[in-house]
Amino acid sequence: MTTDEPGSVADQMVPTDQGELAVYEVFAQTSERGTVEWQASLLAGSPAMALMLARENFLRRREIFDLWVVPRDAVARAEGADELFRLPKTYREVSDYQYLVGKWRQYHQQAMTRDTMA
Amino acid sequence: MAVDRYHLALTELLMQLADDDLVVATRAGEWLGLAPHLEEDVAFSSIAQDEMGHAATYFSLLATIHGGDRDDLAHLRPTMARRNSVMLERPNGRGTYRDEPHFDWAYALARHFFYDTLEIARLDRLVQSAHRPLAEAAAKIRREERYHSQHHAMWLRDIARGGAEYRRRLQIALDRAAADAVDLASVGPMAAEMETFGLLPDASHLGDDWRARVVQALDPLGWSLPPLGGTLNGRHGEHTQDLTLLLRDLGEVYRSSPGASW
Repeated sequence: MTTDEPGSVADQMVPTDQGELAVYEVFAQTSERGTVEWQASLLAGSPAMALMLARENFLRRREIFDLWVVPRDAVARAEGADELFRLPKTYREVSDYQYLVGKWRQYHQQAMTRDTMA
Repeated sequence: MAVDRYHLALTELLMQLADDDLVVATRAGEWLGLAPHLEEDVAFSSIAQDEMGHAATYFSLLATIHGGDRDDLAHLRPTMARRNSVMLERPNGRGTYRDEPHFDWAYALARHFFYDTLEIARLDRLVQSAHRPLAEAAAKIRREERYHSQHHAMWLRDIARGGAEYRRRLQIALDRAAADAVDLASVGPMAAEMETFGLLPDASHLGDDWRARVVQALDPLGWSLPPLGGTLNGRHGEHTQDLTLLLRDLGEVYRSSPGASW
C-alpha cells in the first residue's frame, strides 16, 4: 500500500471542502487480476483520510491489491432513468425466438409429408 | 559487577517501554465512542489496541528478566515505580471517561504524534539491540508503528489545510503536550549503560533524533516544536495524581481478584 505515502496523489489532493466531512465510496481490488469492486461508504475530511479510514474500517483483516476512494459527489448517476432501463425488450434476447424451433420442425414435417405423398 | 548493571539497565529499559505503551494505550482507548466521527472512532481504537498489544509484549519480556507475572507488573506496581513519560499520563481533556468527558481531540492527536515519533526513533535503535528477544519484538512492532505515524501525519496535514481556527487549536494542543514532554525522549539514569551494553544503541542521541523528526514533520505545515517543559521526570518515577487515578481505574477489576484466570 503506497496510497497515503507523502508525495502520493492522495497527499497532493486538497480536502473536498475545507473542514467539512464528505461521503466517499470505497472500492477495492482483492487480487492483481480481480475486478475493482464496491465495498462500502464512509465519511472523511479528505481523500487521504478516506483511504486510511477505508483500510481500517472495512479491510483490516483482508489482503488487498489496490484501494480506491471516490467522493460520492463525483459519481454521476442516471437519476430518473429507472423506467427506461426497465422497458421489456425481450425481442433482444435469444430466448424470445425459441418458438422458431417448433415452427421450423412443423414446416419441415409438412415438407417431408408432401415428398412422401408425391 | 557488569552483569548486574546489564540486568538493571535492561530492566529499566523494558519498564520504560512497557509503561509508556500501557499508559498511552489507556488514554487512547478512552476515546472509544467519543472520537470525532464513527470511522475515526474505529481507526483510533484500533491504534489504542495495537499500543496495548505492544505493552503486553514488553511486559512479557520484562517478566522473563525481572521475574514475576506480566499482569502483576502491569497492574500492581505503585505509581512511583512507573517509568512512563509524564506527558502520556495526562487526561485527554476536561472530565473523565465515565463522567462528563469533554475531551480535546487536537490534544490527543498532538500528544500521540509526539509519542509515535519517539517510538519510531526508539524502535529504529531497538531492532539492533544486543538483547535478541527485544530486537525481534521491535522489528514486529515497528511495522505497526509505521501505520500509526501515517495516521497522525494525515491528520496534521488536513488540520494544517483546514483554516485559521484549526491551526490555532492545534498550536494550543502542541504547546500543551510539549509542556509535559521534557522527559519523553530521555531514558533515565541508566542511559550510559543502555548504550554501552548495546541494549539501546545510540541512546545518547535519541533526544536530538526525536526533535529532528518532529521538526521535519511540523515545519512544512508551518508549525514549530514548542519549548519542552515539565518539572517531573517519569523516567525517575516522578508522576502526577493523573497516573494514580488512571492506574486505579485500569487495574480495578484485576485487583478485585489477583491471580484469577480471565
